[in-house]
Amino acid sequence: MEPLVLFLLSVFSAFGFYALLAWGLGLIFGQLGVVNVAHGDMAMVGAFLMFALADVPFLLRLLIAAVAGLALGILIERLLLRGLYKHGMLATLLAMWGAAIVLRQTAEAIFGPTPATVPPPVAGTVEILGVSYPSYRLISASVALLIVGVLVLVMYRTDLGLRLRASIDNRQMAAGFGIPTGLMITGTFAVGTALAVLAGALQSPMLGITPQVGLSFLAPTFFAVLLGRPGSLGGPIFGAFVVAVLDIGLRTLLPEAVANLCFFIALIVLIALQPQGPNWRFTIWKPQRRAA
Amino acid sequence: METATPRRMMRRRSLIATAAVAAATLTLTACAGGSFAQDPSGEASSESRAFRLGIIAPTTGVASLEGNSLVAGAELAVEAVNADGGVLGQDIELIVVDDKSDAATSTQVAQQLVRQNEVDYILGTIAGDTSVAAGSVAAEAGVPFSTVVNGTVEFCSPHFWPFGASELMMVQDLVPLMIEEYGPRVGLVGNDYIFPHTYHAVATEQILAAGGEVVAEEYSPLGTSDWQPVIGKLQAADPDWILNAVVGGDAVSFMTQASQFGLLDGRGVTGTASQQEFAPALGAILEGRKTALQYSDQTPGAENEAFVAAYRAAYGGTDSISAIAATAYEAVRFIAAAVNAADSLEAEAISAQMSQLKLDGLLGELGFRADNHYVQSNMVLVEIGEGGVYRSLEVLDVIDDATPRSCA
Repeated sequence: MEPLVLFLLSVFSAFGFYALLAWGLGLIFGQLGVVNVAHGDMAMVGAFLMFALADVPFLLRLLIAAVAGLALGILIERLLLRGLYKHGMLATLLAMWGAAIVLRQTAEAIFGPTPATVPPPVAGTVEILGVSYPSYRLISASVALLIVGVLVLVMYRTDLGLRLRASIDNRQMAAGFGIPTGLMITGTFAVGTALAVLAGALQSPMLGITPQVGLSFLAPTFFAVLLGRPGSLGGPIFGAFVVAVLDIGLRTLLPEAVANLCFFIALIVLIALQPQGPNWRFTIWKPQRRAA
Repeated sequence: METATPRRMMRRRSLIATAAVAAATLTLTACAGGSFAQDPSGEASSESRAFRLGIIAPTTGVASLEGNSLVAGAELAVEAVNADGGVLGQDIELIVVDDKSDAATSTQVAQQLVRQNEVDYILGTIAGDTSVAAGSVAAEAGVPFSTVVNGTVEFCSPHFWPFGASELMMVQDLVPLMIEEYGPRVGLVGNDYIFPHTYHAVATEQILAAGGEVVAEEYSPLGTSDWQPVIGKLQAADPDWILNAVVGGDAVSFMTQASQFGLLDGRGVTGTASQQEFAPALGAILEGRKTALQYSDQTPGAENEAFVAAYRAAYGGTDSISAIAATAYEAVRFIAAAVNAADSLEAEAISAQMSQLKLDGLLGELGFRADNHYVQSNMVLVEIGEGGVYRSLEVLDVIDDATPRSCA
């Protein structure tokens, strides 16, 4: 019983983190068609912000991280990506690759190579069905999933969400209806970046924070997005859950090296079997009723 | 006007192009002339020029923490040696290159040092595979090469002299002490590359010889940020103490998460994560822990005190000085002494001195075994105190590692 409980708690913890990261990445990919290879490094920025502002209360630091993420997103979209969309996906991918290197080098120049740590705001463990589990991990995952839940609601229940979904589905037609697609693009990239920064900030008390720490987040997050239907808003959440189950499950049952190999093979097979993502139409549960 | 402008621009372009070609030709001629002027016979007139020391270090990338420590120690030693008269009467010429902890880059920058900079000695790098890559280039070119990082490099040559402690030196005295203090059940955890596997293999022999048993052995890839499945397995195995060979930021992630899960409560832990580099990040988690290191900045003695003062003056800070920085410092001093004793920049003459020389310094009486080229130096048993102070408990006897290895 205890191993199962530990497994479920571990999956929950990993799911929260990857859902927040993957949802932001999926949003950017769906709206802008940008393969944001700097997404992991933006999480690194969040973690370092939490370290740098050590004297500020934890919750306020999270808020600052989110605002800083928005600002960073606006800056990158306006100064770097805006002129590159017309050159295609490869141009934006290379630009973001460059941005990732700049972020890492900047972090190294400011903070040096010594790993940094952030004390968790809630120390200690909580006893769940005989398993002692770090309290902060559960809080962090719950907050991450709550943020994702609120954002999904915004997307499906507000005018802003409707406009954004219209922009994702067909940008030209949305512009024809008077939706400011330029603003939507900047806003989407800023929100996606802020989510990555926030994910890193929430995860920071569990990390040895180095300029390279974001690199390890990138592959699982990309797989989480790829597992969903391109442009799907629920897909990355589903993908993050699959990634969390596979990652924790395989690493619990197998030696780490074998588990990592199996993890990536399993994800590649899943994507090869369903290149357009699963057929579960997350994004149209409401319109379907209208059609009827 | 409309037609004249492009013509003028073309003329200007051709003038610029001609000037550029002329400048390039002059530069090449000057370089070639300089080279021939220095050595008209085609033979190296080595004694008439400065000793060139090439340093390969990952000053950026995953091992930049260790790489920058290496450079800091080496630069300080070059200053000290130069202030003391230099090598063969001239200041050491230091060339530092970054290999980003990538073996292909190590090969490339080692070739650059050998061919372009024509160095007389190469010191570096950090990771095992990068050391093998750089060492292979150095061996092929007949340039002496040394490493300063702990652990056996899977490579040897007549001109290879590694200053870092071997795995046996790291665990021989430490393992019995940990078994006596915490118990016989040992959990092994490390990153998945050569050093942790070798380190644990040697440690396992020592654990079994001391009456202990290995109850868990786990390896995770470099760059692992989430350690909870590994921690779960270690908790299930219930070891008395943990010997870790986790490196870089991973070491901090592992120790932080292990502490949060309660894995370290009432259990011993020692190994690579107990090194000085991690003390600022791990703070209280390391307090009261013991380990064996090649160097502690708290070891009494005038020489160490002078080094610590010079290091603080050069780089500031109050954190413990890393063993890598101290080893790099001693390595440069040792190499300089060997070249001076050889009275030559020839590799054969330098290597002949490397195998015979003994130098008192920060690492005790430092020298090399002539057969397998393993370093011979003291190890220090330390206890980590409040504020990351590495209190020296005992200077251990020199461990003579006679593990067979061909360096012919």
